[in-house]
Amino acid sequence: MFTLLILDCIDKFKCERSLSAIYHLLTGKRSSQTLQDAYSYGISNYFGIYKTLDRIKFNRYIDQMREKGLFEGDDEEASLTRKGIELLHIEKNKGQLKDFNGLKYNRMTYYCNQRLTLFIQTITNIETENYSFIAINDNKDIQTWVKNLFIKNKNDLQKWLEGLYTELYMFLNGLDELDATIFVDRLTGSKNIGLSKEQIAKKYNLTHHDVEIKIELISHKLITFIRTNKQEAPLLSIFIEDLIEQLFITDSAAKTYQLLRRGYDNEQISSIRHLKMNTIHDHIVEIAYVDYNFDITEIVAKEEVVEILRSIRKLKTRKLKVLKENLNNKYSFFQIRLVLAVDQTKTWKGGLD
Amino acid sequence: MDYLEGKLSRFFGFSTFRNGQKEIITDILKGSSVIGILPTGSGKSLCYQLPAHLLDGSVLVVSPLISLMIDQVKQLKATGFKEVIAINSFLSMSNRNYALTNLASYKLIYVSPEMLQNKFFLRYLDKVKVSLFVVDEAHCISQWGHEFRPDYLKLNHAINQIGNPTVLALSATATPEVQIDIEQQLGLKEVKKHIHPMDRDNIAFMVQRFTQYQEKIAYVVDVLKKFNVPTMIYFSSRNTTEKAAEELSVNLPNHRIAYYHGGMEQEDRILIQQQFMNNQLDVICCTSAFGMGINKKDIRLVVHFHLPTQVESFIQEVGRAGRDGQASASLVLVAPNDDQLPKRLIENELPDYQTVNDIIDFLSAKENDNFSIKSETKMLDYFNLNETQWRFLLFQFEKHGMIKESRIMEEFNDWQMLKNQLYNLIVTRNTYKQKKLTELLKWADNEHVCRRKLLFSSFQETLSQPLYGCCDVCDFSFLTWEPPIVERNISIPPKGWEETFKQLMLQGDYRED
Ligand SMILES: Nc1ncnc2c1ncn2[C@@H]1O[C@H](COP(=O)(O)OP(=O)(O)O)[C@@H](O)[C@H]1O
Ligand SMILES: [Zn+2]
Repeated sequence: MFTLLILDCIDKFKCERSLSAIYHLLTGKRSSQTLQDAYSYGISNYFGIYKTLDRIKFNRYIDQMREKGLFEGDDEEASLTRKGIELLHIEKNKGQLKDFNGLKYNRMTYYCNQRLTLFIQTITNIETENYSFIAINDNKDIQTWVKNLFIKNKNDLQKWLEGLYTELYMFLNGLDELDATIFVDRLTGSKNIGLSKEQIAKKYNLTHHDVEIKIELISHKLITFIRTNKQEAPLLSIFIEDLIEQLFITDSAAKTYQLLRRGYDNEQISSIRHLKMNTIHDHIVEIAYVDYNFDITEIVAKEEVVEILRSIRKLKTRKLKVLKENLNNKYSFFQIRLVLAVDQTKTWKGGLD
Repeated sequence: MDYLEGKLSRFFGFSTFRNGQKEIITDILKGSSVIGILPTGSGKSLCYQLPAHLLDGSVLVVSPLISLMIDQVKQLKATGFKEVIAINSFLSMSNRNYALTNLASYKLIYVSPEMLQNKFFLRYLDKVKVSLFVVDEAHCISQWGHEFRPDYLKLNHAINQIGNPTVLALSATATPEVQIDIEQQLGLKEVKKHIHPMDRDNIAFMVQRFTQYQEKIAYVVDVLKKFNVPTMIYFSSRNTTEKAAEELSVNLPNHRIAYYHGGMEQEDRILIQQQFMNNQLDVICCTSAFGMGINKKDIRLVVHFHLPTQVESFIQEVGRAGRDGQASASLVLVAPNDDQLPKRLIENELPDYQTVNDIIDFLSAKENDNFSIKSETKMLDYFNLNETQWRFLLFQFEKHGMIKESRIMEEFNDWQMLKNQLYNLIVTRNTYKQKKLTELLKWADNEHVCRRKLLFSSFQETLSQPLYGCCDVCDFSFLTWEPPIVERNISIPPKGWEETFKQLMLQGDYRED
């Protein structure tokens, strides 16, 4: 499965992006370049679906795939071989990847999963009168959330057990056997502690990578299931209702954004936050990608945007250096990046004249 | 029943005190400061939890282990002791604000040492009558200790600020030199010492020599084939931990074996740890990262596939066996060149001199740059430092007045002096640690003197009579070992996910009524 995922990325990148870009995409690197890649090449659904992927292990895996003759070329310019294309296009295989929804669910899966797991551990233990169990998740946000839900419903545990059972059963029934089994194996109840990823891999003879993305995929399916069956899954809905499809923005950028909205300018923010100007610029580019209402004309005047946009269209490139030179170094990288952002998100309302 | 026993049974439901508890509590209630050295699992926490019920005002506990602290608070709350709180950075904003404004209403307040340097927190603490100041894991204060924490050195200051309350310093391992350090660094006067023996009468010792790794594995396989008992196996590298776990699993198909080390994801770490506690695993292959806060009572066998870097750590790790008092054993496996890895570990604990030199040069050039050390996490990358090394340096820089609140002091100019001092310090520390390592290696090398006698001689004068065998030099052998074998929590034969799920969710036939 991991192989397919990488093959699909190489395929979609059409020799235009390096293999590192795949790594950044899968791990959900918070950079405007990665976001740009995700949009431009139509693979935003893979964004951040394998956050724990280790760089060295990724490289090793890529090398093995190359040795197996699934793709050719170097790290800068790789393309699939016939063998690679065939593998990718076997119908059954293609279906596996279509349920990812990386960019949209990026931050939801972790919370949804962990809340659900911890809540199930909590209510099954309390129901069996075991009050001194140790929470299998030590994230404070999750614990607080679960605790609040529990306190609100502690007199209705039977109803919750039954309801969650019914709703999850409906979901699991729609998965294939192995996925459903893995989902259940990972749960912790009053008698049994769930299996680690490593143990799942061993038990079902899967590679570590495949387990990682399989578990992630199941979570994506769960969220899609909950959202499309709000009526039938009222209890599960509670686990995600406050998790908005948060298009990604770093926490640090969010702080910058907050200050911007309070009317501070870049210099002030840089000094308040003890951050370099470059960092603040990165934040602003990040914001421009996410907030479709963000008005960049306070930083780049309208006419300037138009000039940069024209140059982008003319040269058909997104390479910063080329653009900057073509524009006679009149604009900073920061300004060009901002214009690239509004171009990419198609939020430029000012026309080209 | 006497007064204290009455309270013990009322608040904790225990009928008698364990060794040392009553004496320590009595001294505390009289207002004397106490250093209490009691072995792990002996019930140290009760020595301040009971006084918390009895004293006017609040008991403040400083502990370096946030997770342990939180577990304790949870357990206490479960027993009905509600006026307890752990103040730490994990508390949510609103909970924290509430806790702080109502601080005086808690009888027992756990804090991390860092917290005591927080001016805001100290202001809140001003309104609290602290009747007892507890320093848990007090050996962390000693630079000679195996878990030195620079923050502990500032406790002295906090104690003064709070108005010199009675102090209770607790630790499970402290050599006489560390005890002196505790007393001096905390500025304790007329302190009562309760030093209890480290040795445990239910743990037997065994050391085996081999020529190579594979022989060790084979030996462990043999022992575990004979005794399928809850077992911990310590390794000094993450890689070997994984590799050995795999090899043991292959050779011991009836054992449930997993590995645990600090490089694993947090989520998997918790799962594995809980599985071991829950008897879903028989054997855990681990690094020293495992064990903090483990209170599994029936661990029968602690194997050291590799030795740690000093006697204190070894005693602490062995002490995880047999908390229930039943027959348990420590097995140490030695091979030539085993000392290489710990030697390297020691060298890596502190930055080498060249690095120190480079960093100081770098910082002295930044002197007038309004340069903040904190935001510069890149320092770790630039200079290829690990966290511990960096923390050590920060502490030293602060101590020598080079930085204050993460800023380089403009008036500081003793750069060369600083280099020399750090150089001397690093050399002294490394030499000391090498000496400690040699001490442990020598212990394992010995074949003629009783292992207990040798191990504990620097901590205590007398040894208790072993209950189930002493050591391989005296009388112990696995041939005659008879640990209690418990019914295993055998995994239920595989059924489909539907049945498993129904059972887990307590539905259908599995409903609790
Ligand atoms: N007097 C006592 N009688 C029975 N059990 C006790 C007594 N004192 C402590 N315990 C129990 O012993 C266990 C270990 O205590 P703990 O304080 O965690 O040990 P330590 O901190 O010394 O390792 C706890 O489960 C505690 O409830
Ligand atoms: Zn002996």
